[in-house]
Order: sequence, then structure tokens, then C-alpha cells
Amino acid sequence: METSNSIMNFLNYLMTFDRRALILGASAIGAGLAMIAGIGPGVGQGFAAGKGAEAVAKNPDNSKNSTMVMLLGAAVAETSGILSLVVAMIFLFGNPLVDAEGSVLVIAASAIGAGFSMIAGVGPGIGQGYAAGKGTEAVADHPDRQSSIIRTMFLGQAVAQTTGIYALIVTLVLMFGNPLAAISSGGVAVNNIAMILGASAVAAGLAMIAGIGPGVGQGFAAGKGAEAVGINPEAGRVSTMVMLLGAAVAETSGILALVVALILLFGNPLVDDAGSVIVIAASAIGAGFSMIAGVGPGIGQGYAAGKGTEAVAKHPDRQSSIVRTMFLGQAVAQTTGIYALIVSLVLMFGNPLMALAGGGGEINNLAVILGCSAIGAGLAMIAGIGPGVGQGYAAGKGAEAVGINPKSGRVTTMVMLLGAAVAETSGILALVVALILLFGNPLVGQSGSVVVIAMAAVGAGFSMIAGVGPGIGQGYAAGKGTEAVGKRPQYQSAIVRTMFLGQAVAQTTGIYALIISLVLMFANPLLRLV
Amino acid sequence: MEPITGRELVLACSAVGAGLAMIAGIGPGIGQGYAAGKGAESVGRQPEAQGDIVRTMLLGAAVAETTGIYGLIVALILLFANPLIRLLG
Repeated sequence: METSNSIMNFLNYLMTFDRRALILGASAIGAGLAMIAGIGPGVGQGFAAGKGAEAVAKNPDNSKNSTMVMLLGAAVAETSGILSLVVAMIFLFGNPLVDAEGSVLVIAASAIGAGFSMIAGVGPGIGQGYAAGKGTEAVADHPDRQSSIIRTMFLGQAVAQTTGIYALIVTLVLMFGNPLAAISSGGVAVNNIAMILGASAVAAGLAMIAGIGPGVGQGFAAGKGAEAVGINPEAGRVSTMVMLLGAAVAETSGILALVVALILLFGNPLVDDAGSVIVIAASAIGAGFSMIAGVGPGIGQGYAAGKGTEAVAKHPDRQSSIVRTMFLGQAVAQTTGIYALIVSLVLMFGNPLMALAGGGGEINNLAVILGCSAIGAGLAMIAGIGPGVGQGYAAGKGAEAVGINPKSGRVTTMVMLLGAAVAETSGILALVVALILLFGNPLVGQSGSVVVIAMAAVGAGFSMIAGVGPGIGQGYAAGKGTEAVGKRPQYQSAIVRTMFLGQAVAQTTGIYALIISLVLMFANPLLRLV
Repeated sequence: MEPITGRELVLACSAVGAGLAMIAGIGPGIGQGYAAGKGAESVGRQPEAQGDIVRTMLLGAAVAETTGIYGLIVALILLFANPLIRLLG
């Protein structure tokens, strides 16, 4: 089998099946993928149940009300699971794609993309469940403030649902008003445009998975908001406002993912590209993978929003400095999401790989290597989840520290930024690997087995995902360091030294991953074995 | 264009597998970071015990590193001493 033709052979093999069979098969996979969203409500409602049990033990006289709040909150957290169930049922019992007009390849790929998109529901499910748990706890502690606690909980939960709604919209567009199927020509022939449009449909679904982040983060903020209203009802207005402001920032990654998905669906720049079809289609997939990094900033910024809300409720007079620190930390937490967006946009609009590959529909060995490099670049960027979560934790602890001890606000903010800068490392390393694959691709000049070279690019991308760990861990250390300096500024140097030392140790596995990635790209020993 | 041999297939999959193995590094990264955070917190609370705190933190972090090293070993074996190739016959 020839390397590059094997891809065409596979697609052509698929086309030998009955048109309806292919679409129904893809629909079955799409229905299954959509149900993965059920992870979210399961985790979230479990948290709520735990808090409910705790609340009843703490305040048995109010057990009826605590249980009611738990059930109300958990009912909201069910939303994403039900939305996914509806999508799966549509696939199974009222499949709109089976009779759709257009290329069978595009329609089948749209079914799979629609399933991927619904996975975003994991986020709202977890987040809203957290809010339900915290609301239950707050009602047990302050039964007289039940109505305002529930109001804040519902408000925050509604915000946490947004990225799940975005995902549902993308899914419904793919199922019922598919713009990609409309511009593809019908029939069973595997043509270039169908390959690009099909890959774009899958990529749009992959990008929406980023919605997990804002869902979790905003839910955390909602929980802290409900708690804050219980602790200090006089500051209820201002703490709710801080919750909404912080949650709005946490929405960023979800919106960026939606924009990328809409570009792929409605203004697809790849369709008219004259470059190699394999590189273009793979670039779409890479662009989708890259956006998954948005999970990190979404969770992290939401955590910061929650801690900011809590701090404002405890120290309403220090609101402005708390919010300032929260925003500053949230901005830092966004960086890896921006890196991912840049890689995604480069792949869609200024793809340097396209210039290297020959034009047209001919699939050659070089195109296969370049296509796999595009996917590898996208995979590497997923590492950005780590710094996003970690820096968000540091931001939350920074806001808290400024609230507790405003006199040492300057020094705590500095420690927060220092620690967060270390936590950025894995995101930068991933960006470097992606940029090498895109702009200085060492694989192009290598001689040897095409499939081994191409898969080295994919492996190099997977390897960098390890960076999620150091990013989260170092961010946690940054947050704890900030907290400690806020409490006892006189021991700043000893605390920061310990923090840095621990962070350096936490970087090791990220370095191992970088080494494997570089070996695969620059000195692949497997090529000698062919 | 050369045909793909079974040997090439194994080597290509080894490249992907080496990358996948490294994802294990997420765990030590999170865990050691948690240890670093608790270490910094503890030094702030009891600066006079800094030496003991840091020693314990590093000891725990070393244990947490193991699975990351396992992942690295498997990746290095796949890349530099691939035993699967020998099984091809």
C-alpha cells in the first residue's frame, strides 16, 4: 500500500458502502460521543449530594429546605445531560442527516462533529453541580437567607450553561442547517472539497469542547456567589456583581471556540484554498484540536472569579483592589488560550505548510508529512489547559490575599505574577513545538519512511500534552505561595524560594516530554530501523 | 512512492505510542505542584522548620515523579531499543 494513496483508498473504501449505511453508522458514533457529556452532571450532582448530606447532618432542623435546594440545583445541573440525550435521540429516532442533500462524506463527518460538540456539556454539569452543593451548604448555615442564596445560585448556574448552549447550537446547525453539506456536491465520489468540508465539520465539533472550561469555572463562581450572599447579605449586590464580572471573563475561551467553529462552518477560508487537499483538511483538524486548550483558562478564570467574589463578601471595603488583582490574574490565565487561538488562526488563514506542499488534489508524500505536522501542532497546544487552570488558581489566591491583608497587596501580587510566570513554561514550550512544526518543520527534509516521519509529528504533538500537569501544579504552588506571603510578608524570601524549588521539580515531566518531542522531530531514531 | 511495509507500520505506531506515553507526565506535574504549594505554605507558617519542610517536600515529590519516569522509559524504549521490531521475524 502506498502511504498517501492509502488515505484515498480508505475513503474510497468507505464510499463502497450504501450512502444511508455510512450516514447511519456515523450517526451512531455521534450519538455515543454526545452522551459523554453525562460525565458532567454525574460529577456535579454527586458533589451536590455530598454537600446535601453534610448540610442535613449540620442542621437537621432545616433538612427539608436543604434537600429542596440540593434537588433544585441538581435539576439545573441535569440540563447538559438532557440536551445530549435529546441530540442522541434525534440521531436514533428522527435522524435528519440520513436524507440530507450533499456529499455523503461531509454529512457523515457532520454527525461525528455534532457528537464531539456536545462533550462541552461536561463543564456546565460539573459547574452547576458545584453551585448546587454550595447553595445547599449556605442554606443550611443561614436558613433565613434562603431566597437570596437560591437566587444567586440560579443566576450563576444560568451563566454556567452558556457554553453548553453554544455547543448545542453548533450541533443543531450541523444536523439541521448544515452549511457545509449545502456547498458540497452530492454523490459518493470522494472529491477534494468534500474532504476539506468533512474535516471542517469534525474540527468545529472539536473546538466546542473548550466549553468545558467556562462551564466548570463559572459554576465555581456561582457556588462561591451563593455562599457569599449567605455569609454577608449586606454585600450581596456587590458580590453578585463581582461574580458576574469574573464569570464574563471566564466566558472568553468559550466565545473564541464558538468563533472558530462558526468560521469553519460559515466562512470557511479553507474551501477556496488551492493548496494540497490533505494539508488543508488536516489543518482544519489541527485548528479544532488547538482550541481545546480553552478548557484551562475557562476553569482557572472561573476559580479566580469565585475567590474574588468570596473575598469581596468578606471585605467589601477592599473591593477595588480585590477586583483589580482578580482581573490581572485572569488576564495572565488567558495567555495559553490566546496562543492556541493564534495557532488555530495560522492553520486556517496563513498556513505556512500550504506553501511547502504542492497545490491541487494530488496527494503526495510531502503532503502527508505536512498534514500530520498540522495535526501535531494542534495537539501540542492542548498543553495550554495546564497553565490556564494553574494561573487561575494563583489569581484566585491573589485576590483572596489582597482582601485579607491589603497592606501587603503589592508584594502578594508580585509573588502571584512570579509564580504564574513559571506556570506559563509548559504553554510556551508547546507553542515553540507547534511553531517549529509550522514554520521550521524539520521533518520535510528528512529522508526515509514517509509514514514514520509523519507519525513522528503526531507523536511529538501528543507528547507535549504532558504540559497540562506542570501548568496546573506550578499554578497551585504559585497560589499557595501568594497566600503564604499575604499572611506573613516578613518570610517572603523563604516562601518564594521554596515555591520556586518545588515548581522546578514539577517542571521535570514537561521537560521529559519536550525531549521526546524534539527527538521525534529532529533525531528520530526509528528512521534508522526501517 | 514506496509501499508501506509492516516494519514501517510498527515504527510509525511506535512514534505515536512514545508521544502518548509521555502524557502520563500530567500526574507528577499536578502532584508535585501541590507539594510545592503546601511546602511554601508550611514555610510561611513555620519558617524555622524550613529545612525539614523542604526535605519532606522533595522526598514526596521524588516519589510522585516515578510514573512520569515510567512513561519516559517506555518512550525511550520505543524510540531507541524497540523490542517490537525483533518480534516481526
